[in-house]
Amino acid sequence: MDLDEYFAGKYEVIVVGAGHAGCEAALAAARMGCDTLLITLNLDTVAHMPCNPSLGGPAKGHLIREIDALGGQMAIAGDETSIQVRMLNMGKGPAVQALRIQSDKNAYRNSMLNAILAQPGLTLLQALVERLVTKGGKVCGVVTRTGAKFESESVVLTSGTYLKGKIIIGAAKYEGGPNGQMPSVSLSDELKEMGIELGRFKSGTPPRIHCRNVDFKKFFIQPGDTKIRKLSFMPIKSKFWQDKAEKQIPCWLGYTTCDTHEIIRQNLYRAPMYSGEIKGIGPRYCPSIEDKVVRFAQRDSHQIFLEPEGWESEEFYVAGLSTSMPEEVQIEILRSIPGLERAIMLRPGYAIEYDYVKPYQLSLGLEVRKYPGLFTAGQLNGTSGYEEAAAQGLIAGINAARRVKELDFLIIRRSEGYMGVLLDDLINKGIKEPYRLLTSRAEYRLILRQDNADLRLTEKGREIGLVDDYRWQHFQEKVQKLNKLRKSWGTTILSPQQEDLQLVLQEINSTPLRTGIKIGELLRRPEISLAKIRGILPDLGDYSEEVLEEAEIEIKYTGYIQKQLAEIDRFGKLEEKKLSAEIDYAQIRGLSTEGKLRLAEVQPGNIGQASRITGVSPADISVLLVYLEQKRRTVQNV
Amino acid sequence: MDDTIIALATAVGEASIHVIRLSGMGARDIVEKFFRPKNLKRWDSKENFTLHLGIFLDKNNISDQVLVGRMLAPGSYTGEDVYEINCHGGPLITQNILESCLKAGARLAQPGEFSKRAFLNGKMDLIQAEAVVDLISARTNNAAKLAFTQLNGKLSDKISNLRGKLLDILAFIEAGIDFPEDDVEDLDRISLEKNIEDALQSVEKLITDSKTGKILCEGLKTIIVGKPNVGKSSLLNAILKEDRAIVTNIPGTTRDEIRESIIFAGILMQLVDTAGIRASEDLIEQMGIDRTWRALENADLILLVVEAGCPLESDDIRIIQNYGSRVIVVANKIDLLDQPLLIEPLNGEAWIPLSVTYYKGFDCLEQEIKTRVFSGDLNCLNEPLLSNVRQISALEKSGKVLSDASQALENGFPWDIISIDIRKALQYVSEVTGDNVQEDLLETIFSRFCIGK
Ligand SMILES: Nc1nc2c(ncn2[C@@H]2O[C@H](COP(=O)(O)OP(=O)(O)OP(=O)(O)O)[C@@H](O)[C@H]2O)c(=O)[nH]1
Ligand SMILES: [Mg+2]
Repeated sequence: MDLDEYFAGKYEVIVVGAGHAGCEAALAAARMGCDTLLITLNLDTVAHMPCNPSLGGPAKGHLIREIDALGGQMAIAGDETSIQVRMLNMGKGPAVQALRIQSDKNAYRNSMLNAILAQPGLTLLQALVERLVTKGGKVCGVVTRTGAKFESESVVLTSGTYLKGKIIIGAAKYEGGPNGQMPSVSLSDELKEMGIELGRFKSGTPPRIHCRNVDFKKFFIQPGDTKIRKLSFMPIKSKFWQDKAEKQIPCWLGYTTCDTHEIIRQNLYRAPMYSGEIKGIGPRYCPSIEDKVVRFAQRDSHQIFLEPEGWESEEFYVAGLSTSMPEEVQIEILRSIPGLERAIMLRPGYAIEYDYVKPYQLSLGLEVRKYPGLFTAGQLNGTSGYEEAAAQGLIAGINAARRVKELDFLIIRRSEGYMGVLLDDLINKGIKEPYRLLTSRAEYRLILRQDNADLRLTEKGREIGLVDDYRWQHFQEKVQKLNKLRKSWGTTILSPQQEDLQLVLQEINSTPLRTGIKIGELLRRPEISLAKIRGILPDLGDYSEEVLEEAEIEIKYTGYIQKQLAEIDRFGKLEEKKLSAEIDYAQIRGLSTEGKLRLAEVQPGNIGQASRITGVSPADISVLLVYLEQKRRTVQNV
Repeated sequence: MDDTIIALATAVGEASIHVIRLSGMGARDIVEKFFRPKNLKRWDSKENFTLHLGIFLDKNNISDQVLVGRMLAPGSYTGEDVYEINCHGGPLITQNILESCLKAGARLAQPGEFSKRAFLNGKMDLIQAEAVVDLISARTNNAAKLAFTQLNGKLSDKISNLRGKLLDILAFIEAGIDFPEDDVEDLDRISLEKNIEDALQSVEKLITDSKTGKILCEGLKTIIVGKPNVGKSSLLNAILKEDRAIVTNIPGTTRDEIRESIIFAGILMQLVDTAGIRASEDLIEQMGIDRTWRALENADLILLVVEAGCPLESDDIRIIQNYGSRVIVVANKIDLLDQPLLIEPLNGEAWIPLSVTYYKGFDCLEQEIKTRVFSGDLNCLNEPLLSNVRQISALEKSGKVLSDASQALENGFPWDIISIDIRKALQYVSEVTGDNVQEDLLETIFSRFCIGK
């Protein structure tokens, strides 16, 4: 019997799912002035972290900085609830340094939940969305399991791994979302029926243990940094350690042993990965422990990290031990690790299979091209990681709001941010495994640093109405200071008469000065760093560490930065040559067969995007250029 | 589209004069780097549509007397500044001039690129657009990859090897950067320095190899095949005008390939005489025959020798069926025939009646080869030369950025900076092999390092 539907309300934007993507999407849309409804399966798992209790790291940390620069929430919630911070890649260069924080999972959830509850124009609701409402090929609302029909102009789907979610632990398998949640089955069928192509991926998590019986003496301590850094550009303190570095909570490094590997080999036939039970494709960068043991058979140990799930949590996450082995094998594996001999497993690891939307169907603004008004973001689009999800959520939320306001989509280019790299890769390259962002995927890595994310994006954020006055003022102050410092270093001349300077130069084996030299020029010498000559420079007390660091990077890497900027300029021109959605690629003479197919599939917005689509050759691009010129002239002649 | 493109406007071996064409904003600067005009005043006058005699001089290469034609934007063929360097001398000089210009910043043109620019700059009408598109899409398959597979085996191995080294270096750095908390060995500057040095040496060795190597001299790969005793070796000797191969009336005389380079019909050819095709008990002979079948795949031109008047056998027919337009059937020993030969082509192949003994029919053979080559039916002759130039230029660029990397390393620059140059070096080498960098990089990282915290 059909359920009676009732009209439950009208909003401008509806966001389905309150994971990391959904939270950013909903907050963004509401902050941009749209009347927004956020629907989620369970209010107690808003912004839940089903995997590591940590945020950031290379590329991911960069994304968080960009989310923050645009006026998103993730960095703020992360800073507020961090229990440990670490700057990674310190010695490897300015482009790849990235902050990684451990966060208190529950506190993080509460922080995000509070931001949502406090946000004017945003309504939160617990419900299960079963289907979408479409009218004239446009998506204009959702219907819940209980028959509530909500209308809206845009819908953002961020249902993560819940679509036809299937949990697998050994021979046990059941339908479910992450962390004991229920899956959403009908929505997946609904999407398929709408003609949206879905794929199936697999992901997994390790077991969690109780800390009571852990012998920490057998682990290596991994403390937080002594120098405190933040995810956000705004000054936010952790509610737990209040900027007192010594109060941070450590993580613990340990190793599997030959015994562990023997147990795994003995039980391999029971591993769903090998028994053929799992059909979804898992990520190469996040293999299960059974996978590692098989693929790297020569190694007799792999590292694992014990990460506390919270400030005072007794529960620890065992990073590196992702597995879908039967429960009793998991316990055996745990107990074979030195220090965990008496470990108590609180939750078993599991593999999860889920449907995802093949992202070639989206525009760079994250709208499903076939259905104006429908946006998808996050793990639903085949990515992995909280940060990748949040970044997409933010973009989808922004564009859902801009769709309502009838404005052009905000599109971040590859040269403007990791967000651009992420979306561009997803849509143009196609994905064969859950997509994780890596710094090595960014061709303009040196430009996309974590220190300058605000310089790259905050003005954009302000323009679209996401950056509030407080942040804007903070940003402008920084820019003013930075400009002042740039000018000072570009003009102030150090004299060879300055004895302390000559002395310092001598000490670090740098050529002594014969004539005056600008501070900037001196800093460019490979052997010189700001830290080394800071003592003899005119007082810098007026400038924050952040500004000093920024200015120094700009000077030291000038040559390389200029080169990348020139490249961006060169390729940027192709982005200006627009391709209309009406083009029938099958009819264009001279395109390769694969080129035709892929172009029709992705429908790129411009020649630049077209040139990055897998399967489109340089010859195809030439043919497209000729085609555009042909069309232009034909129109002119008419 | 502001870059300057360059191409060879004539076919190698076709004539004694070669024309190298440049188009783009930088064309003048590039030409002026090397060109010493006899009449400097006239050159400096910037007069349009003029020809200038002078010397092409590159410190590192030999010089040659050239004639440079100048056609300036917007009146030129492409609508951009166009310079044409006419040079005489063989393929080697042509290659040197191309190389010099590439080093100075020009880039080898894609198929149809001159016409594409002409069209985009309004120099051609709409009706011609289709022809332009045809030119562009004439060879849509991966040209670089194709050229690479046709390289001499040792050389391609060495290049693949170099690419592997660069990939390893980059994978090592990138794994360390993207997975700092995983079990990846620490980045170590000393071993990196050694590895870069090692790669640099390979690059330099490869450049020398490419320059002195045989690729250029290969020319049109022409294979002489047929049943035993039909006169293949006799034909080879006649073309070479020397007794290179042993000729007897015993079937199965030739057992191993005989290769020789020669200019025939004004075309540089690499001639290969093969073992006569038949089912043989003799292991060595059979191996030779197997090799012949394989060699047919890569041949630009196939001279299928048959005895005039005798019916075709199944092997002959199979060759014609498979390689039609690349086949010229040489009907030998017409001197033994008392009536004119009846010719019925099967699959677009040409038939030339001929007698080696009486040296008859060779002018027809020459003519046929020329027609086939210059009508474009056969693989473009310029390809070996161009791929050689392309390869040398890519290797040189790769060498340049590798020394930048090693300089940056010495100056204490961090890993993210050094990786920029190494990635570029890898990209240049991958241009030669026609492989994708990003995917192979990830593959290498995940197969070499156990990632997964
Ligand atoms: N009458 C006549 N005899 C010829 C002609 N060309 C070659 N012959 C003879 O044919 C015989 C075989 O010649 P080869 O050149 O050794 O034949 P082949 O095809 O290389 O033979 P294999 O190497 O055994 O496969 C020799 O005795 C030649 O003198 C020709 O035009 N007329
Ligand atoms: Mg012979």
